[in-house]
Amino acid sequence: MTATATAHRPDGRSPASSGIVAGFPAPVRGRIVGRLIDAVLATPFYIAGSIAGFDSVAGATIAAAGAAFVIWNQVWRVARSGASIGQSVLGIRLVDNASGAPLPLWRCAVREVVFLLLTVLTVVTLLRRDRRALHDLIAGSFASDAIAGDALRSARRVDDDTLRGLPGRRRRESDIRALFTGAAMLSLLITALIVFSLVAEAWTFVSNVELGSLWGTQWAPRFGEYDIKTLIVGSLIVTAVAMVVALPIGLGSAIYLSEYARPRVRKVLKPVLEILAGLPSVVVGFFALRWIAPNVVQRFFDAGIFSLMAAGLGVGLLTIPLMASISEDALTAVPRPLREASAGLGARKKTTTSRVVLPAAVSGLVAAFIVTVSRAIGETMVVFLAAGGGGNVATFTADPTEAGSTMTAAMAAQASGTDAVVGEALTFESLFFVGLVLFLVTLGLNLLADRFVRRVRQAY
Amino acid sequence: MQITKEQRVDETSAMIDDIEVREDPRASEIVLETRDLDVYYGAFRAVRDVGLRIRANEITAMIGPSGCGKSTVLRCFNRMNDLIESARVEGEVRYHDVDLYGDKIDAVEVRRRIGMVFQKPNPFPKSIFDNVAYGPRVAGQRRGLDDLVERSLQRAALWDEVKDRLKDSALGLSGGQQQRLCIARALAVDPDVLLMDEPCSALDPIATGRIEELMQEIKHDYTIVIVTHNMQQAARVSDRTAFFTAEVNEESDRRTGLLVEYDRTQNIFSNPSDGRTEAYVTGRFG
Amino acid sequence: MKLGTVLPDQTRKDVERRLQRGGIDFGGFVFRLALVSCLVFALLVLLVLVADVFDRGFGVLTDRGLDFLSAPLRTRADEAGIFQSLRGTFWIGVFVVALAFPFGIGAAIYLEEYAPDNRLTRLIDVNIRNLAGVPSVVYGILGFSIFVKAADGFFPGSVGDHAGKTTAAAGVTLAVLVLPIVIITSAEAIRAVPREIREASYGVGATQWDTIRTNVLPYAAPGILTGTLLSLARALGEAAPLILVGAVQGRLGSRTGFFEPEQLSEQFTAMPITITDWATKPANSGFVENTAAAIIVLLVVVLLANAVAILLRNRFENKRAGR
Repeated sequence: MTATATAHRPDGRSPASSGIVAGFPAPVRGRIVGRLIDAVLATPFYIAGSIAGFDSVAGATIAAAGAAFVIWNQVWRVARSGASIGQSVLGIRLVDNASGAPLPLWRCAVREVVFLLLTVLTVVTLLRRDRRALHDLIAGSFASDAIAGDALRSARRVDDDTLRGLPGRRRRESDIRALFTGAAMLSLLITALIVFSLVAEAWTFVSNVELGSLWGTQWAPRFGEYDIKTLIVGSLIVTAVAMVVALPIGLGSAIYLSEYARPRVRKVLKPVLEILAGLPSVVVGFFALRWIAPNVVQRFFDAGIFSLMAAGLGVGLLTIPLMASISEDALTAVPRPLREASAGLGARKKTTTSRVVLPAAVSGLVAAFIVTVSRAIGETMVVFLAAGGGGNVATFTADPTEAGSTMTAAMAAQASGTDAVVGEALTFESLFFVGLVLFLVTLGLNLLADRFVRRVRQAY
Repeated sequence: MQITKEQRVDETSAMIDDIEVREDPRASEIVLETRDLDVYYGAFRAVRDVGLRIRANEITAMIGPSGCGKSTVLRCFNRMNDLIESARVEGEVRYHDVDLYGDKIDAVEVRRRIGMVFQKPNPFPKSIFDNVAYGPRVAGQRRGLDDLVERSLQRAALWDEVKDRLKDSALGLSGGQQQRLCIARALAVDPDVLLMDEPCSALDPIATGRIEELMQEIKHDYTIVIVTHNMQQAARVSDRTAFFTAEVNEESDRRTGLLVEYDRTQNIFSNPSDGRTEAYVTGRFG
Repeated sequence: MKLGTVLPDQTRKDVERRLQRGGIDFGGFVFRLALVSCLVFALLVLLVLVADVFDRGFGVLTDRGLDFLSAPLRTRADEAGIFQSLRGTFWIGVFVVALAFPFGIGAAIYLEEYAPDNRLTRLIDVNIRNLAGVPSVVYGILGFSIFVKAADGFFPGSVGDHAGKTTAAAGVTLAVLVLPIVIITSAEAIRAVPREIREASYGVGATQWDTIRTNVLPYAAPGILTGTLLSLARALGEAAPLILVGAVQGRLGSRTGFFEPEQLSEQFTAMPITITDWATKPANSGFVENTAAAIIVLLVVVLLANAVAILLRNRFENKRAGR
């Protein structure tokens, strides 16, 4: 059954009006981007081969797989469906210039070989009006605008067949979806690579280290002394000092911004926190070493220029914005009616805030606290610079006014200075062991924070 | 002799056809048809057992109290419900006798033939020209866009008001103009059917009047289905009217919509055969 | 949630007491003052930090001017400059823009537009949020054991001790570091695109990709741009992962110019690395002043990116609100 003839039909749909048998030429920009996408798709093979080494069996296998992929994508697919993945995504269809029919396999291959050999020349010849470049001329091909081409061919009839749409468009949509899926999967790959790179070497450390060397008085990997508690206690001290600063200041700022500040005041004060959040940690590290240490720590305590306390204060400064922004989110998530109910009973603003809003937001505030702790534990450069964590040896201390190191700073210290890591056999591996501990601690904290955040979402 | 269910349905529908043909020898072709249509959101059934036949070059109105599922049914006609992940359709929706929810049917292809105008005017934040040219462009049209835009705007009775500022943002137009622009945008892809989901609910009476006039002008070329809250509007513009109502589910306190009566508009408003319809059109509930 | 149960009895008593007493709300005033002073404290510290850095470093910049920017790393403070550091930071920025932006925005598009609501999607989602919380120094390990090796094989020419410890490896490491931030902020921007716009697009027969490309992305562009600029600023200020990837802290031969891509396969340093290196030199060597001067340069770059991002967001928030 067909639809009734429609009263007006847009121009430009008849093939005759295009002037070219095979349709409209695809835009040059799209063709270049399409090539780029195809190239990007092939690079993982090249990188994996590089890591394995192309002269090894594994490397050669990867190289062969890469070549197979390129041929499948840029020759076989083109012959079968008229477009490689890159071309499909950009809406390009490769056809025979004379007939507009699909290109046979061997001519697709010729076209790609010519392109590979004479890339620069082909790009120059794209200036032709019909956008047929050198490799197109040799292979007798024409890169057409697939979407416009489909419009020329699309039927206005209504039946099972026409309503299924043209296969080119469906393939294009699924190719695009596949590309985005790949981008999202990349995050899983990154996590896998992090875990992989940490675990292998850390395992070597754990299985070979003498248990006695894990308990001592200092962290000195170059001398075979791996007193991990030095670093853990160091991290705890720095984090505790940091939270003494970040918790009240961050929370107070958040409460002010969400409950008290009028929009105009907010607009002026909020950027203060945002600029603070944008400060690179080396800058804060410098400030902690050259200003906080002499002007604050040494004024009130009997301390050297390097101290865990100076570093902790610096880290606290750095984490104020994080604490403030997550707390503010938690506070603004408290429903308005709750505040109004309290105000309706005649409660003052302070009472409403402290007795109603804060208790209601407590899950989110706990999450903010945990995330901030996690961030403080993970901070490296401030400790590296201000606590003396940049040295090779860290002696155990539980005194914040003394110099020390943290897990993070110890890792950086071990990698800096000399190019080749020297010392005992396990010096190198200990770096990964500390990294793994750090990774697991922060992962645990982040997952915990996530649970609290989810609780907020469920409540409202 | 055993009579299968399908045969019975066929015979019944043939009888209905006979009746209608007898009543009106000029009754036009059936464009859209639903059979036992149920729509679910997750486990919740929003609409049940809808059977409708929508005929070419007529205006069909769907009325009923809010929550009765009339918009949900409308959105089945061009598969807009696909956009809601939890939505599920059971039964059949046939378009020129093709099952719209059949195997491999492409929603994009369906929507190019069955256009839609929404409750709130929703022009793109682009120029007036780009709004109208959007559909043809994504469909692959590369030439003749100027003419097409002009013609579509003329059909939507908007050309004279905007011809000198086609490059201006569509968001600068008044609400009524925006809605006519949305109609022009829908017409530009040359659809067969136009679905209108309460197109005047956000407009003032004058703008509403213009849209209603416009519907009368274009119905000779299109099949129009309009969902409306406004009974007077249905009575003014439509040829046929479907009345929906909602029944409250005892357990979940949610409402499931159902089709009560479908007939010529005249009959629905002057001589309804169902008590619920009568109660609604006389203003006793809803 | 029933409102009545939330207000504790305490509140009511409190309210009654205050109503009877009347007068000025002294406690409320102190509370408010304490809250304001939190923000004022943050502001003051920020001012002190900037003033301190300018006090120490501005002289170097005015005395030496362009020489400080164009001189290489040297052992004498009055000759040392930040040419190579700026170059390294520039190329790291290029990598972030070229890798983290497209892949991050792509992943965000997948999560918001395509991903079905299933276990895998939730796993990806949790994974990305956790990646955003992984300490930057751990990314250094990733760079060191994967990207440095990859770069070693990738550039056939680079051999010897420094093999693979290249600008490219550093760039990839930092691009990966900020990838989760780009994803999260872009996804937020895409989520804010109103449903009406998508419906309008689908309603005239646009495909999913047409809708994303021509409507969703343009609408979300300011938000995406803000997020990407912030993550770029973050990457340019990172030092810890670069130390692990093998940034050079002492002298560095300078064979290539600023914009020559050959630099990608060479050893590198970057602004935060130079700052770290100089900051730990003895106080009277003149390097403290150099450090402060280098910090000023870095702050200009980083805070400029931040400021543009914040301004952009505020402007569009106003626009969306119809002001």
